[in-house]
Amino acid sequence: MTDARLLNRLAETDAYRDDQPLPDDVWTSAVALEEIELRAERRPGSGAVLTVRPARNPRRLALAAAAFALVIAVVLAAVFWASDRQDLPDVTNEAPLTPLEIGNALNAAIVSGDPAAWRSLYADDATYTVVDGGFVASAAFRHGQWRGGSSDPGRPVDRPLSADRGFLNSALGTAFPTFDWIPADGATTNGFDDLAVNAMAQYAQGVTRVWSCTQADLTTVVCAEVLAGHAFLSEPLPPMTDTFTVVDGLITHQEYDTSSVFVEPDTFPLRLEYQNYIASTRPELEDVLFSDLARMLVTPDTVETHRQLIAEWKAQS
Amino acid sequence: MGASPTTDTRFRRIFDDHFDAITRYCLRRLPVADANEAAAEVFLVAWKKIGRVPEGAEALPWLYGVARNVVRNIQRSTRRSGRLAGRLGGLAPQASPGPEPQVVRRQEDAELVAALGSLKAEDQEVLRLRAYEGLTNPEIAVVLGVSPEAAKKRVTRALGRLRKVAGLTEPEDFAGQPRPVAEGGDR
Repeated sequence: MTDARLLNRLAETDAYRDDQPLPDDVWTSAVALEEIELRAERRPGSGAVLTVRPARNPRRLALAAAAFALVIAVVLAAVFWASDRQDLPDVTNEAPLTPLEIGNALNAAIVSGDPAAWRSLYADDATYTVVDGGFVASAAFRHGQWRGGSSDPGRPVDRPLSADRGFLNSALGTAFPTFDWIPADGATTNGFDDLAVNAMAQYAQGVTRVWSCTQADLTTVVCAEVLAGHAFLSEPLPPMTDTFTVVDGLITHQEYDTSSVFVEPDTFPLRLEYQNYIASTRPELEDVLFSDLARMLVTPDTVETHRQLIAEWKAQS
Repeated sequence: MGASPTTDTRFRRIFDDHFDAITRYCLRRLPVADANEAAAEVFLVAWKKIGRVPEGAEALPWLYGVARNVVRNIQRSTRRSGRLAGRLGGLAPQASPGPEPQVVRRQEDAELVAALGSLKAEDQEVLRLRAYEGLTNPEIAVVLGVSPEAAKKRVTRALGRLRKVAGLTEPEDFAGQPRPVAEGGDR
């Protein structure tokens, strides 16, 4: 079945096609316009949560009551979850995100595999620094390859040493030879794309929570790595933190501190198991999904495949 | 910005041109009561950002982009309240609110709708935008805030996943006269 035919078949399942009348309880344009007027009067300067207008007739009384209950529940939930929000930025919220909200939004963007949402949280001139201890040396010793400023398993290592070293303390707009994760930002590869590899590798590896974040002051949020749900972690995670400086709702600097880590979390054995699983079940994909022994190649074209197959491997192991 | 949404000429033109389409967008994703609220919220945002609403044919994809975020906000709010209720009452958290249940005419339609519903939310969204809202790939790109090329890739991948989940490999799997939707993103 061609794409066009499948789309046509899907279109036929639409219950709200343009040529179909709308249900009776859908607001008419006049009622909706009246509602918009009321909301514009109540909220002249800012977007906010949904409000409930008085019921205009008995038939809508039940709807209004349900909506009122929803608002009460939302308010309660907002208070209850205020310290643990993982929302993406809300376009209707005109106030800049707080540093804590930025940390939680980063979490959410990574966990949902949305590089564009992730990128939108950084200022265009944001910078990145790695404060490392024995981390890099350990990685190089263990695997026989220099890995540069990060040893995250998804990061490809086929780049010149100079670029990797430059990455240790650099502006994220600097060009790096990597994959373009966010074409909407101008179709060039840069440090954001380089960082995105790590973020999307975590998505591929099934991470359900990246950090636990605490706002340090008005412009800083400190996020301790948690990596809950990581498919290849088999031992406790050593303390690693990302400190984000946030100005006007955007990250202007990120500092990745691994200075107290002298032995990296060893994900190699399970990554190798995963690679062996691919080699035995889908040998044609091994070269597509791996650049070297147990070294995943995470790109915009492979990330979803990795995510599906890692989950599959995990389920059968 | 004019005195009010009702009297502002440009807003009224946008509202009159696109209210029906935005309402249908919301109905495809939310129960009717929430869809009413969501459609109003979309145009409230448009009113407040009237200077940023594009002219002409680009206005509707822009409004769909706002609608997408409004719908997601409502779904998240409902999930949160569901989690709270679940925790307090020892219940499993409720799923995201979806559209009203619909009577489908054919068994294969039901299977296709079920297959669509089993996909990731992002895949469902691009397929609905393409098939239900009838958007081109460049228009989908505006809604999602990505490049046209990225939108095209997402549609292609989502179609592949839908085909896989629905077990569609043979052309004769579905019969019937299709509504015309062009391949390649150009209507």
